[in-house]
Amino acid sequence: MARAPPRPADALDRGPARAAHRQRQLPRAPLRHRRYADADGTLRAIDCEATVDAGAYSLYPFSACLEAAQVASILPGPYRFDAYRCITWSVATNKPGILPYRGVARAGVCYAMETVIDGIAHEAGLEPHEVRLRNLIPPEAMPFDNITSKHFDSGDYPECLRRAVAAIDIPSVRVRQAARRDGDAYIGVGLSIFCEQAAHGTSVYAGWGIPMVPGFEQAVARLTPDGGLELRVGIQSHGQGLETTLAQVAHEALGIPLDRIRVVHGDTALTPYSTGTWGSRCMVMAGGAVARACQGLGERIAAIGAHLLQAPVDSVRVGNGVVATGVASVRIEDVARTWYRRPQDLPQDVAPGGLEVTAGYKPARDSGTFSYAAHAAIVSVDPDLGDVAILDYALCEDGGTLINPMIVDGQVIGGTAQGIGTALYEEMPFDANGQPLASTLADYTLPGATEVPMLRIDHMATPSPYTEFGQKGLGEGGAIGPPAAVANAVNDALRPLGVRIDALPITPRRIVAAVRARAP
Amino acid sequence: MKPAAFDLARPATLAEASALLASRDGARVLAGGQSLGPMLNLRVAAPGLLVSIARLPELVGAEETADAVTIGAAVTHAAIADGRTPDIGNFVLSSIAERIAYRAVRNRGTFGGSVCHADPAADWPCTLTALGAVMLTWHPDGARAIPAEQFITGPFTSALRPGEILRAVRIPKLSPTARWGYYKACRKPGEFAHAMAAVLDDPDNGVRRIAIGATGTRPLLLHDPAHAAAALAGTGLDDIAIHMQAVALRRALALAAA
Repeated sequence: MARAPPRPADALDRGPARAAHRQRQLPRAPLRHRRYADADGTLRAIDCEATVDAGAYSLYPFSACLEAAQVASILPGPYRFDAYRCITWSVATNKPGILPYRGVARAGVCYAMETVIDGIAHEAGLEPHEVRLRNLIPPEAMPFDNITSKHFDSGDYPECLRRAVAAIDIPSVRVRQAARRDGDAYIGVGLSIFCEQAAHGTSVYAGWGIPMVPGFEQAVARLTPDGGLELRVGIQSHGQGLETTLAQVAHEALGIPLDRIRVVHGDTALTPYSTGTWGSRCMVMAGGAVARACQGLGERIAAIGAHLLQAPVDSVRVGNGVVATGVASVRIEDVARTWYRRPQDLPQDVAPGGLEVTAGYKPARDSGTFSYAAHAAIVSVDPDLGDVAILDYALCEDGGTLINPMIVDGQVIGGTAQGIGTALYEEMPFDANGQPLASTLADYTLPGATEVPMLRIDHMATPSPYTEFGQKGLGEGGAIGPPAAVANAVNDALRPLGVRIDALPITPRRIVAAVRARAP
Repeated sequence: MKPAAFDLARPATLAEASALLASRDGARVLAGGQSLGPMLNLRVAAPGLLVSIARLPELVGAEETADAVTIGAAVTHAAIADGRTPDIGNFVLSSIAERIAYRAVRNRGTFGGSVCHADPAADWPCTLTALGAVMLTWHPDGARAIPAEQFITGPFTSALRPGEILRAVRIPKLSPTARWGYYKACRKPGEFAHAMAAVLDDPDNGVRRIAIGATGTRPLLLHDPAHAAAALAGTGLDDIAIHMQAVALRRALALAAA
């Protein structure tokens, strides 16, 4: 089933990329892709040409080409196939310049790839998840270098998809679709699966040639005289709960109670230098740095504690808030008080480096962690008015070792709400002269509590072999999956009408226009 | 954004309010401020004087007679939604009010303010036109009773003269056999509608009125749905918007017939 003639597809151009990244795409930007697949749904090749409207300026440090470059390198996603070509263009226009937004290029790329997969499934007469299962990177291939040399660290993508599919009950949708009578709602089911490369470091960004290449991430761990712990990090927590998760990491190393741990961030006068919070890197990079700093601090605490216990330093261990040897132990609080306030109780040369430790961290391999998720949505579409209601939404996420599952759920829920906005509501239109038409929130529709369904979230936890605890970055993933899943569901619902929507957001006007264009 | 500087007056009586409004060009009434407030902040409106009437005792009452309900202009949507004002029958008024915007807006937004603001996509201009409501105004030179369809003269414009204030709205009660249907299409709850229609079918009172709102101008008043296509064609709406209006009307008719 070779797709011979190039088919114009809007998949990457007007819709998701613009909406997902507030990026200004050229209207009718030339994007064409060809896909080649066997009759059994095996994907053989992708040939793509994508154009990104980069606006008027190249913005530091990512330049005007980040988005276009990302499209080419990440379009294959979690799929394995033999041949690939992607030509991208970054076009200067008189609009504002573009900068990265949650899930840089990924929401658009996921939308493009996943709508392509649904097209293959439809033509092959297979369920969309069957085609995905046929083409996903299998777990036994991990670690896996894909066709654009992305190094997938770990994971079981087929299992992730199987769990999302099991959660959503596709057979019942098929039964309802087959039994549909006049006047009933049009319902449809849609899937998406994607990977999220995160916390990639020096080798990746040096390869891009950008002027800001991240290296070691640093953290300071500082035992205070009262036995509390202060962590200083160069990343910024603006809602991710890093104050909690970094404290958990420190607690893991030293056993100091969470309520005695203070995380200082967001003030460059007080914290180590860092490139900051971006690229879903904090839990891997700053988490790793905090672990290393606490381990270093633990060695010094152990040395002091060994003296107080009158035991050899290699016989003591630090944990649970104490230094212990056999049944004897001394509290870390007493270690701190002694070293700071009663140094006369210690020999001259104990812990001369002090009880503030700065450590740098890089993962064992800096090509990034690959978290991933499968999203599944059931929608109801009203073709007369173009309204879309999300009836059910389930997803399975694998973020490696989860430091704090509740915070992970928060990231996933918030990201998915954002992705639902990309799918159905949020749009930054411009007129023919490049004037923005949505310059206030009065003209920019966001999803609210009534538009975001109860999300049913399942977790896998396949550790990354390269990070401190096996954790993976996952801060952006929630926003990546929904446009594709919702769009595939809407198109599944509208298929009996011969209608296909190929632009985001899927507004009532776009649906009504497509239905009317198709109506006899 | 923040509004341009303005003066704020809080008169104690309608007469005082009217005099203040007539005292300066561009003076405007401030009621609940749920539409005017954002317009001030966006500087779409920049009146030099705002005359606050939300607490005038003459405007906050409601009364019921044998054949009509009269609701003061400064009664909030929330008061109507909560059933704190008399109903014309079948909970029609409360069912309209409880779906206006969202609760925070309903708590402060006023019934009369919405009518006078005359946003084409607002709920009351369309529904009150279908219900055959009459606007009762106050002016030192004399009160007027103006039918809804004559009161709203265009988008964001009403028949009020300088210094004239909407005091209350009188809405005829429905007969026991009256049928009512109201349908609006919005992107999400709380958003302004992009298509809306209200249908009153009350043969015992000899009334059949259909109003179509969100047309970008004053609500269209029809007595026969067969005339809707021609009326919509004259609004300047594009094909898709007209299609959506026709669907909203069909659904309002179906609700009335249900």
